[in-house]
Amino acid sequence: MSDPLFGAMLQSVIDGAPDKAAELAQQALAKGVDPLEAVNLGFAVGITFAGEQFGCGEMFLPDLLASAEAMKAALKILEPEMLKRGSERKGRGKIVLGTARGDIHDIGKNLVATILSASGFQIFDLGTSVTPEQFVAKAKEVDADIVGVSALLTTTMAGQKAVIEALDRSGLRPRVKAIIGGAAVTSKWAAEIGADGYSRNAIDALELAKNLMGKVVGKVTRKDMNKGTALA
Amino acid sequence: MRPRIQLLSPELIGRIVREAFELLMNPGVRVGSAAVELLQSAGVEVNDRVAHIPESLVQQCLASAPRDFYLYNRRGEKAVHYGGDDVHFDPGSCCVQMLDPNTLEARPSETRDLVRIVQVTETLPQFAAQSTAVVCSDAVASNGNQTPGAIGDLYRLFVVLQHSDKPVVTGSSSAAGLQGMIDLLAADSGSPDKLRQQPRAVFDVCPSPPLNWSEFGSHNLLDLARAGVPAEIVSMPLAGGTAPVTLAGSVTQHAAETLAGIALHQLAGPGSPVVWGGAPAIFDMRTGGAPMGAVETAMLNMACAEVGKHLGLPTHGYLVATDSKLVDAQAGAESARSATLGALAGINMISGAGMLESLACFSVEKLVIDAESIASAYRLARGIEVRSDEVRSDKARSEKVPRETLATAMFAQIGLSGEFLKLKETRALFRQEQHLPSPIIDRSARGSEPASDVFTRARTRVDELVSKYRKPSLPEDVLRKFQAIVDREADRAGVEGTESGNDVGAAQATK
Repeated sequence: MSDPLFGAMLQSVIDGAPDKAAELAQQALAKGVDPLEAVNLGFAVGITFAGEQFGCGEMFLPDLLASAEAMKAALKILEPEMLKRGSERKGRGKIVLGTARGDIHDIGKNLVATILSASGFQIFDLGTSVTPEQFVAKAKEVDADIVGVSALLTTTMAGQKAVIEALDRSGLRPRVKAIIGGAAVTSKWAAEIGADGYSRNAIDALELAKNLMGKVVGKVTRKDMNKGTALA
Repeated sequence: MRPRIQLLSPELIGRIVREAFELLMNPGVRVGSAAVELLQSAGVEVNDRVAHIPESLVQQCLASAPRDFYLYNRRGEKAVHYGGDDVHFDPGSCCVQMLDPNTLEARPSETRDLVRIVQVTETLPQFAAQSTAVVCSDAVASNGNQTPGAIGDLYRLFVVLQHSDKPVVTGSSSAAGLQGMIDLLAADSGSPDKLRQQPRAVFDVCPSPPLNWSEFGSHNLLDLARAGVPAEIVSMPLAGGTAPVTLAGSVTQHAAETLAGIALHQLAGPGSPVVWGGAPAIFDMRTGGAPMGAVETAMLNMACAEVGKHLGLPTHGYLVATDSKLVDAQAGAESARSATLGALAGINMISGAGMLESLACFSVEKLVIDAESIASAYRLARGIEVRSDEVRSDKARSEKVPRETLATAMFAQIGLSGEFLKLKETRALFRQEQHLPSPIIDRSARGSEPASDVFTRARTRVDELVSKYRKPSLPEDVLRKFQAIVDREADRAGVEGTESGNDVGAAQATK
């Protein structure tokens, strides 16, 4: 795809420029560009590139968050049009997020919410100190695919187990997947409480969520990535 | 002259305090329900749990807070002076993992680990105080998952008090658990009044950044103030993550959170001892973690303490920790650097020794290595002293060698012979002039054996210290009171009697 508009789109995400991204999304709609193409060949290439750059230490959390905000700004404009056309992005999952009961530390959870939402997941953020019952109720209400529970403190990690047990009791699992994260959380703990996954950081959480959904969100080819590299 | 490092100019401290007062009004501070009524009765406007605390009230609270106080050991002696530029160190607190020295892997910490840490800390003069260093996963597990925090904190203090005579830096991670811990300390001291007069422990109490005194944080702060047990306010802004990215901005937020804490504390218990503490850190922009070994983290701790000193309060910081997962060169470099900086900043209590992996893992081997860094830091902080008057040999006196000299008096005795080793001054003063390190520090000439590394030597040293350790003998009636309090709290937390009995037995059986 040689349209310079796509190049500008992915660059606006890499630059973390929400106003520019929104303006380009408007332009695309005005020009009659398929919004799904604008995402998959433009903006999403940028966010994937940003994720890779973060992974190899070239970009940092503030850069990544800015890219995610730019992505969200573009999606906000493109999504209504996609809905109208019935061309919703494939593989997009619904994720309920919150911190464990008694835990008010939400910086990690917020990062995960931003990155996942920028990558096309629909996020239902229940905020901090969420009870197992609240997680289950929300998961039922929105027909969630994944429930993510964050805990910073060793004393609140038990709350993650309680959520998984509540999901089991409600019969939502194994259809609904349960993932956990947080400073004190380890893969061992995840295995111990029977979580479907655990990640060390927000970018790994994105990979985890994609894998759990069983498909890659926003198909990006290696060729698109190279284009992103050239622009960066 | 005592060497000091200062990072903030008087003008900048003034700006920091001014802006901190502005923050207390706008946006204000979120407070727990326990604090709302207290603040309102002092005339503070509280809307939807957000308090707008005027400077005049905070100034009044600062005036009632003691400028200094002591922690006492079990023998009733003053052991820690919170005030002035006195510097003390204690091990890091509340770790959940222990580095296994054999496998070099982290595993959940247990009662035996806490006991070993306490034993080593007890034997090392570098540590003026103990801490409730690690979570005892063995005890918590048998308590089930419901309330590990409440009973776990009490249990850790119980284990420390059984194994140590030193003061203790501790804390409660729940509102419900605090009273049991205060009761335990009162039993140790003899009575609640005695505990108030000669406190054995200080409790860390943490606001949640930014500008939030949570339900349990507020609750504990007020309870401690009312009990007259020292509270250490440990605000931990993460620069760029949960606080302004600029170091000056984070110091300002720290000041606002701590000032709000002091206001709550002094309103509840005017004159109760309170510490301008903290565990500020930068926010790592790659990992989202809090790098405790970063030099900027040390700078934040030093600057926060400077503000506390300016306000005339006892100070605390969190240093001597590392982000490395192993006891390696990074661990040594980061821990020694921040021990040195903390000592030069004159921070009254410096917590964090023994901690690896950004406070997630404890190593008792690191603790004994850190003790060497601390000893060197103390030596540096004493500075270069003039001692010519302290020791004058009989010969020097009889021969009327002039006083007040640095070197000429010694040369007057030995001329150009170079026999300094024979001088009485040498023998009398070398222990004061030089810190004599333990065998952990390798200064020996290379022999025929392969050289060992510091970790290997530290392992040997830990074993030696543990074998040197003697458990204090507590009176039977105190032990019975301890037992009754632990049983009562275990019942309240819903732990089955037999299980709590086992926990207690396990702690008592250890050494």
